Amino acid sequence: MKKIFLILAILSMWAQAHDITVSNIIDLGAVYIDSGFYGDPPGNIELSITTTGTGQAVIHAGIDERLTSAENFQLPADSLQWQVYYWTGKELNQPFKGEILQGGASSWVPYRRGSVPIIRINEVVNNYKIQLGTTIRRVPAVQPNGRYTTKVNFEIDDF
Amino acid sequence: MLKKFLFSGVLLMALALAAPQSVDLSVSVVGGIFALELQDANAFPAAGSFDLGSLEPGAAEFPVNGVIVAGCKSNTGRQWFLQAEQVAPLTDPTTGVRLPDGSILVRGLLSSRSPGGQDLPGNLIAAEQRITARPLTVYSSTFRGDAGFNNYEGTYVPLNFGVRVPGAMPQGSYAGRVLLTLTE
Repeated sequence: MKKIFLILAILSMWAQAHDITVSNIIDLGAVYIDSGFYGDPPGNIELSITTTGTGQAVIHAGIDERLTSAENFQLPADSLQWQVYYWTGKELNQPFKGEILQGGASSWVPYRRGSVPIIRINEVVNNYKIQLGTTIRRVPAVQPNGRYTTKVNFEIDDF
Repeated sequence: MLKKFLFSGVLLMALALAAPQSVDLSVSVVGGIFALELQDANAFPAAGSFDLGSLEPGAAEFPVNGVIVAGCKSNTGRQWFLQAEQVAPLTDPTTGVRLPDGSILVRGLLSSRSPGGQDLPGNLIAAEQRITARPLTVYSSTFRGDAGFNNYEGTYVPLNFGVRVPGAMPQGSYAGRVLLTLTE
């Protein structure tokens, strides 16, 4: 019995080796038709990663649905995009401890539906932060007015 | 007992793995547009006039250069209509002779401006219609204003204009004016 408890406890610890929390409400404000939102501070999403150990982890991201209004109008696919702005140690000129799996280091990458691996972290210290910038590439010329919302989901898995 | 522990352990693990974090993200789209932009068949801004060339009396023709593409842009999310009406009949200014009302014709063409030549989502007149002083609806959008079509960049309606010349019409150079209107 004790062995089983021990195995379960180890497995459970392994399963919870990494944890991720995010800022949970982002309001980009007003964007005019035929223009875009170019990643100003209101769009920054801060990912805080904590770990009980060290090792590699993969961050997944995805959206439930395209940005959608109450009247069920939608912004085009690929409108909402992310880019890594900041990571712990950047101000000390430390290299990013991982790999950006979609796009390049300074590329805007569209959020996809579902769950897509976006960043691999090779070395996780106790409190590691990654800040993602947000852009809306362009609101089309005849997009109806209204408040468009979506939910961006993040999860982290051991690699 | 053993099975219970195993089941509990697996359940705990499953809960630990399935813990996504979510961000509620919103943006407000503002601004208004309700506009009509006329283009020629090559997507250049229309000059505002075209010459249909020489036509034989008794003929009804749709010359290939008689094409106007009406770029309809509305973000109201409501149904809109594109209408055509004759505001000046075809008249020869030197003789004062004019063609009868309804001599100017219009018909819709298949869209060539939408992605992949996608059909227009609303109703486009297919058969030729006479343009008179009474507004004629040549295209009506969907009830949601063609929302989503052409990636919300507007609906481009290709129209071909022609003339029906009565058999006994004196020769001359006739000019008229047609007004296109976007309305709800």
